[in-house]
Amino acid sequence: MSALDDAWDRADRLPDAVLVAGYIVALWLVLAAVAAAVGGQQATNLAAGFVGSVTLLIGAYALLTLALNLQWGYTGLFNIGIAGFMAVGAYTTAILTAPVNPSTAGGVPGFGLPLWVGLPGGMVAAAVVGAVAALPALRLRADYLAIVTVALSEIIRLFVNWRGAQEVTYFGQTFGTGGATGIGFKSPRRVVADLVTGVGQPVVSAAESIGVSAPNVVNIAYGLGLLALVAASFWLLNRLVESPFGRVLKAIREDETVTQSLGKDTRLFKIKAFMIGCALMGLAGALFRGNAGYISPAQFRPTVTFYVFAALIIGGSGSNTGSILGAATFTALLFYLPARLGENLPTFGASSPGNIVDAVSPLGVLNPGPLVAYVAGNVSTLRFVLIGVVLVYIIQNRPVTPMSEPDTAEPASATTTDVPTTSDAVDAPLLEVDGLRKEFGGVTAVDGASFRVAPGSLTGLIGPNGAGKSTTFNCITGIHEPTGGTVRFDGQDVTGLASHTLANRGLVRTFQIARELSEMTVLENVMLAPPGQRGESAARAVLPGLRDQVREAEREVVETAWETLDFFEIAHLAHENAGSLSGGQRKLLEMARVLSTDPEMVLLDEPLAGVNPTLEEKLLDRIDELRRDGLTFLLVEHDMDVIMRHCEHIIVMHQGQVLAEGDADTIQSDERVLEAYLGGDV
Amino acid sequence: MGIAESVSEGRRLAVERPGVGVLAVVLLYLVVDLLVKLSGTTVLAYGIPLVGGSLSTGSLLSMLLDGLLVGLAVGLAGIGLSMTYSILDFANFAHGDTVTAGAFLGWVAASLTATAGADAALSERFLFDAGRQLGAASALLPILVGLVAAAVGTVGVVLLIDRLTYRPMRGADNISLLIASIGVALALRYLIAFVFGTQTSGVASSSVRFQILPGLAVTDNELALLFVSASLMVGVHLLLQRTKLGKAMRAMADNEDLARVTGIPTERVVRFTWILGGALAGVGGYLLVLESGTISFNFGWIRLLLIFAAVIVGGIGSIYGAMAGGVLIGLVDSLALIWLPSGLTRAAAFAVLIVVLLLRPSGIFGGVSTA
Repeated sequence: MSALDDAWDRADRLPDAVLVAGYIVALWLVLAAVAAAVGGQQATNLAAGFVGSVTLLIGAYALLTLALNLQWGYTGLFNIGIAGFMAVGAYTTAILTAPVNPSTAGGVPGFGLPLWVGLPGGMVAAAVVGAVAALPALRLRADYLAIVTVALSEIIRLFVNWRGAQEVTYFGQTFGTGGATGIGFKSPRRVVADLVTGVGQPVVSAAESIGVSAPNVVNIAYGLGLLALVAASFWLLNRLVESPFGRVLKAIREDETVTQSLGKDTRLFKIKAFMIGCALMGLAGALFRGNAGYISPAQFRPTVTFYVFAALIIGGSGSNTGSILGAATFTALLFYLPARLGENLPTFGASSPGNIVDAVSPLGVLNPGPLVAYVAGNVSTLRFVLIGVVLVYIIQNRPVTPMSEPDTAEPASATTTDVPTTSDAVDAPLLEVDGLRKEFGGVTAVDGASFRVAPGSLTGLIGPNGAGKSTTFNCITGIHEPTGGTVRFDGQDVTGLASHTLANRGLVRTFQIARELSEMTVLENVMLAPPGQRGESAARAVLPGLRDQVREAEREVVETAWETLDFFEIAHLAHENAGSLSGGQRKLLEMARVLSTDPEMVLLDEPLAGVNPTLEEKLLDRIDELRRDGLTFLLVEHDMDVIMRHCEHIIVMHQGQVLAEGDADTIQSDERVLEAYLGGDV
Repeated sequence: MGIAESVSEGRRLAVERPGVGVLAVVLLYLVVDLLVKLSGTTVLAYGIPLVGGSLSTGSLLSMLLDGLLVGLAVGLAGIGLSMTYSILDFANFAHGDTVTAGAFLGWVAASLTATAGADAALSERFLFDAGRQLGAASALLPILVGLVAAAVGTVGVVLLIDRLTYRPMRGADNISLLIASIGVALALRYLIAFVFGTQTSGVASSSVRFQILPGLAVTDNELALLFVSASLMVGVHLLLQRTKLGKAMRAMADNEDLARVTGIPTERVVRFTWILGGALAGVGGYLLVLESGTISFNFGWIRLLLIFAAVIVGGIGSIYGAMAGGVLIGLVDSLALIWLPSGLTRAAAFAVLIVVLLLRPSGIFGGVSTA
């Protein structure tokens, strides 16, 4: 094993592109060797045939796995409607490019446009259908989204199969899907063939001189063309995921709630990623299924979706390089090679019996020949059993990491008292909470709490466990929708607004248990936060002309991030993964991140829990410093000493309501507060 | 509730949940249209037919019967899917192929029984190429033997699959389990293809036809399906309500951790879930073939989405929901023919699935989990 490990180690150090290219060449060599073993006189041509077919498969599946990886691996959108999006792309391309007057009898007319219009048209159509599918389905659980997408893909297939869509005429233009018989259109392979027999004639002649037929040269050329497209997509997608846009995608994958609370409209990012993936799937549908210029509904059954999944899981979701390697492994070694081996397996003179009974019964007289022959004759069936087993084996040994799901409600304590409490008036408060209520089923966690927070203040919110402090925070910051009452921020009603909208208006929060994005570096965590980054647009992230602006903006973001890290004295940890930080460092990072959103007011949920005294002082110093710059803080904290020493205004909550408020002396001398903390009746 | 209240309730619904409001309008239109169609008139507006057409009571009834029959078998198969979804917490994509496996096991047993003692080659008795077709009235014993074999054999299959696949990954997240089930589905489907080939074979045809009304007839095979599925559903109900195991299963579907700390042997409940779900899936598959007459290696896979639709429409985890959802989806699948061309009726059933998932993921029969 050590030799193998060693080889892996060495392979790991190679640049990804070299690794992928080397792997594909190795697969070609394996197939050529098989061809040499069984091909006899025709070995060279057979090898060329094998290589051509497998290159087409690798290219097509690699496009599909890259697309799926963007959707599932990067944003957690579990799409098993791949076949449907392929169909939309392929059929749109077909309808756009089918000849206006089809030469064959029964052919369906189309718009007769060239392929360079038809292919982008197909991609756009697939992306649009993807957006329509994703828009309502985004909030669903991952497995529900899966079922919605697979149902959609079947609806699409049934629709193009429908006789009513076979040929229609609108506004004098006749077109259609061709129904169950399918549709012929401009063959992408034809384009390559014309090139090869035209410009590439010397190559063809050379190939023919070593026994490779011209169609096989075209095959290989088409396959290589697809690989070139894969390389372009790979390059583009890598650019995309390494841009600020990709940074947000990674953050969503880790913790969608946090990403939202930092002011990112996560739904928009998810839909964009989903659409880009669907566009690629549409392109693959046209170039793979429609490579010969003909498609029919039977080519878009859900089975193909599951092959793409198998390929991605073999390669490892979450990595673009892995996606391509998985596609190559799946198509060459599991899909294509077994079938070729099966055709050529030696059967030791036994001819294959027609059914399993005749194959097995000779075993009774110790004659395995018929069974061997039967197995050999059915390898193309058995390879799917193998694919299934490999899939189960991989997922058992390497389960996918569960994706983050947005927070759901957690009930706190109940209360029955209904005495309304109001706070003393503060002049022009920054935050006004009025009669806030939150019920979880029958449990009332917050029961008419009202208070105000003055601008530039450090206000403490305290109360015994279950008093409703965290739920109040969640209602203010848009994580929970309040059952009743209003929240006003900076004079405007912000009740029930989404957390990313609030963050963009300057109201942000930290979490009770620090929620760092652990797979991202400390620096990346902070760089995620600044609002309205130019590179968060997918187009700007990849298009050459616009990328310069992104790079410039990014330089500023990095600079500011370093300053912020310096301010919190964690700059030396910048390149560590956030997951490796200590508890206290995580709290500092969370503060740094939340301040990078350029807020007006920060809600701190137990920022000092689990922080050692030295760090605690550091944190409190920073808060004081930031207050001098005009920031407002609302602080939930259990450490009474800190609250009493640092907060000029303190609000005490009990049983979902505001029990008392005032400065430290007032609170400390309040009988009701003492009783609440000691568990007595109020 | 007074009319004014209903109206204001309706208005509130329309404002707060526009999707539900649109759906209600569509359903109302369909009902009105159906009634007008039955009366044989057409209402035109500016020359465009608004509602109506023609539809005979007989053909409506026979559509209802078709839908009911397919729906019962789908519902039966759906119980197992619903139970694994709620108790093991994953969408089992191998369930359709479990249904296929049950059908093959059952029909092989039926075929062997029917040809017992006959002078025929084993391959001819074991496989379905001989053109032999069984009916419930003419070959009652083989059909019954096949029914039992479908149930027992499928239990064996699912227990083996659980042992090999899902048990080593108990507690994994639901997407990992879902992917594992995709692997199981592929392996199982193509093992069946390896043994039985990929052709479609006719194995059942009715031997007796009872004319109930003009235009409405029912065959012996359809009656057998009706009787078997109805009695199994009653049986499952009694099992869940009356036995300790049934209560434990319901508890586990509700909250696994809570069930475990209260001393419910979860592993035993899991095993029983597979046993019950597997047996019903096998019988469901067997009955689907009895009704349609033909069998092929991927018929369960093709129907999987329909079974999912039944389970989701009925509410995941609810066993009665799966039964009712099955019938509802069966009816949608067959009644959609009144309004849609024949190529799109299945698409309508899937559209119902999507609409329910989007508007009411807990299923239309309320959010009550498990029975």
